[in-house]
Amino acid sequence: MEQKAVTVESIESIYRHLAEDLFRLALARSSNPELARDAVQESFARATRARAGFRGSGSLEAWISRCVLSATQDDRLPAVEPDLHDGDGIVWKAETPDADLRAAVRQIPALQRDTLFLRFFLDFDYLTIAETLGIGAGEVSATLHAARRNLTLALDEVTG
Amino acid sequence: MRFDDEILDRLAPTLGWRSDWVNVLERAGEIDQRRRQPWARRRRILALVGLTALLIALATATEWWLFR
Repeated sequence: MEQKAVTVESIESIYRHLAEDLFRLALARSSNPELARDAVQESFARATRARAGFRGSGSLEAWISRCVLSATQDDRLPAVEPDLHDGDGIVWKAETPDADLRAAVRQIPALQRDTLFLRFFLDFDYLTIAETLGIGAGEVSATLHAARRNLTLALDEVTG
Repeated sequence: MRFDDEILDRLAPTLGWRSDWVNVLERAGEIDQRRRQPWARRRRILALVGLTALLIALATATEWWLFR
């Protein structure tokens, strides 16, 4: 079957409905608003530049989400977590009571964490999650279950 | 602390996101290309018109067979 060409307009359409959710995904992974914003913008720019090479072996949403995940890999993240500013002032302090939650999230395996985030922040179905993470669609349900179980255990551990 | 999916909201507030598609196009180099493309096309047309005029003038001056 012939693949439909990816146009700038089709990427813009995805940007309009998905960019904010991708920002939240990147922010949840990085705890760094500037890095999260940059990861989203750069991922869409990359997709725009490389659109002619998109073979359509998965959805465009999955392809762009992979770029965002790649741009917010753990080893690329700064140690310091800056505050989130919203023009008028700080709207989200890095040192919040949710530090426990973030610590617990970082304790679970990366694949489980990403599966959970893709499901929660992007509301992806199992097939799109599988495409994004390069795993079998049948693994997604079990991975989600493991993520929730392990996060509960990790939260118990960090909160005592 | 009990875990349910909703507490993941705390990891990523929606505040702080500003949509900026123009910035994406700038990063991708699309805006410059779009600005350049019409001019490139016009330059090609002008060059073709100029070349045609030059050939006609040359052919007329040299009494080329087509213009005899």
